[in-house]
Amino acid sequence: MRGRVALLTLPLFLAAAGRGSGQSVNPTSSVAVPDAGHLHAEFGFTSYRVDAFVEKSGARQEFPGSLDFRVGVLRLSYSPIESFALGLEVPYRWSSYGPSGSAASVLARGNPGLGAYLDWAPPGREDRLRPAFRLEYMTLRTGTDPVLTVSDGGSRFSGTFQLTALPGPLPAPWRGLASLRVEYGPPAGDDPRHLESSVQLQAGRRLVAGRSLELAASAVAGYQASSEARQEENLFHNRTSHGAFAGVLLSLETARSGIPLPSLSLSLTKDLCPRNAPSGWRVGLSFTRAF
Amino acid sequence: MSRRSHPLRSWTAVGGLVLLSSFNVREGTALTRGPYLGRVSDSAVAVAWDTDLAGGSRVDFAPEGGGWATIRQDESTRKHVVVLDGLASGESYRYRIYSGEVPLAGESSFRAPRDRREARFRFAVIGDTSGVDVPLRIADRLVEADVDFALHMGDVVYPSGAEKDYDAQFFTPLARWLSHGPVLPTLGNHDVMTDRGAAYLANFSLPVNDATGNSRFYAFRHANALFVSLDVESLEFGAESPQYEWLVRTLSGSAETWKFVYLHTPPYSSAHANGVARLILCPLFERYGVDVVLAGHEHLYERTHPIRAFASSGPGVIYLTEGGGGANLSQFRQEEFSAYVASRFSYVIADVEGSTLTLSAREPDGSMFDSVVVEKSAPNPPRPTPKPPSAKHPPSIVVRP
Repeated sequence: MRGRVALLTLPLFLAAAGRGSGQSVNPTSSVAVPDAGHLHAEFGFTSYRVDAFVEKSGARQEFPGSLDFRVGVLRLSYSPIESFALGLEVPYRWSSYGPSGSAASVLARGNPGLGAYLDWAPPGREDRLRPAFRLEYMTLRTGTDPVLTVSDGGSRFSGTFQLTALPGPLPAPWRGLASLRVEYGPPAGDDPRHLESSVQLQAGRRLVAGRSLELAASAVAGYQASSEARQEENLFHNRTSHGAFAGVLLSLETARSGIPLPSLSLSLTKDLCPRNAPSGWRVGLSFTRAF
Repeated sequence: MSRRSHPLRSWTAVGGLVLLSSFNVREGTALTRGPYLGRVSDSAVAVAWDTDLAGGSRVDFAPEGGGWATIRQDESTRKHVVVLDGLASGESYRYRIYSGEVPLAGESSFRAPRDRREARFRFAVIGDTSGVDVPLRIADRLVEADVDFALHMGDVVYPSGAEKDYDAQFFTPLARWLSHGPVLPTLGNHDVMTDRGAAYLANFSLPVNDATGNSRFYAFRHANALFVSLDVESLEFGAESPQYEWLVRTLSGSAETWKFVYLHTPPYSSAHANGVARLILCPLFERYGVDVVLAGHEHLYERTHPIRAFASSGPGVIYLTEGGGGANLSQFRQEEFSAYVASRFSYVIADVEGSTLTLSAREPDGSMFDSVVVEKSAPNPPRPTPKPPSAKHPPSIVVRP
């Protein structure tokens, strides 16, 4: 039973935890605490195509070319005791821009830094909303000119609170999730401190269920606000920014009681009403497995 | 001689009173602002001034050693703008302003715009002017340097570009220069905070673009150079926007030797860059041969190495930030693309001599602390570079294809 519950909290659902320190929003990722003595591995990938930057006034600045941000993230966590897990996060970024009609193009790629996190999921709440917490510190390589780089050099602390609706309070096969994430980057040199907060909501249902497979679909939506337009490890503008997003998520979960098995999730989201922020489409993918 | 006053002395006294009273405006009309100059086209100068009471407008003007001409406008107004066209290229003109038939101020002078046959001129770059002391001293330097005009990099009036602050923040501190030559600004983020820059548009006589029919962005030619002012603070400037399309037409249609673009927030900066402008506009600048991009916003002076294809190696566009007009100075962390950066009050003098451009950054007392010489390459070997004006600050040399 515990295994099944653990599986149900795997990345089937939308969570804010996938948005680590300036990384792309990836609704397929979530806080997941493996059983004591077990490992949890997650590989996430996001591709974000930006077609415009929207000013605070709403004026839309279209890019004359393709501006793409891609990030792959590997997370490994281990649970030394019940309900707790310690993890490491290693991202890798590709950022590219090729303005049409111009020979100028730029490609930046590399590892921006390293993150360490602590997850906690209070035990014994199988029939109610299941909370989970993550505290993370991401150290980033010293950045230089923060336009089209893979690291803006601003190390960050973040905290995530996630609530997952298990079958119980909701009629099966419905499911839901809500999360809140806050990120803080201390001042560095002449750069002021950076603050960002985001909320995400997700609601969906199982579409198909077999003996050991479940396919679920969910609608996802979220909102974020930050003290400056610092996205995708780039500083577009040093004024406050905010925006929403919405999309869909599909998840394929393998569930066999007591046996941790892989899960796969795919999401597609669109930025909505950004202000002093980029606007575009994101595709997210994650693959998880507990050992 | 008897103790009675001499007749000549009496008539002299009466004449003096008449002369004095003639400068005392009729019916209490007073000069409340100006005169100050604008530039409405490649060849035309605008003389502007404000009065407390409405009345007609008149400008008398004459080239040095030449006869006076008069332009009258009967429209009764408090905000007077008289356009002078058909001026001899580069000539110095004297002028006087009247409200109706009453002179409002003493005689001033200006230099006429230069036509494209000319290839030698001087202009200034100022930005983020604030307070009194720094702009006042800079205005004195501009007059002494006898520049043809001054470009302003935006944030003309703090804190929010409101009309009520224009006299104290701009017209009074810069008065000595404004009656002598035009200031050609670009919109800053503070300028648009009140009514999207309504006061800015009302107070400056500028060329009108043929895309949107206003002066939020504009261009003009002076001698062998094209100057383009962009609005990146209140308008769309991305691909397919009217401003972007206009910029492509303007730059591609220009055959001028030199091309200068100015906008408020710098695409490259060791403080805070406008990354969006860099991605959208810089490829255009390179494609159409812009030589120097000028900006303000950051309250410091900075000059980049030539940049092309987002890299600072080989020939390219020089990005220069001049935001040291008096506002609180900015901090910075020098980037690789930066050739020189300093947090100091300053202005820039640009000298164009044919295919040679010299940019020198100066403190408000006129002392130079940075300079660069840009040479356009020619079929013949490049001309020898000019002797550095100061051994303490030898200029950098950049050769452009």
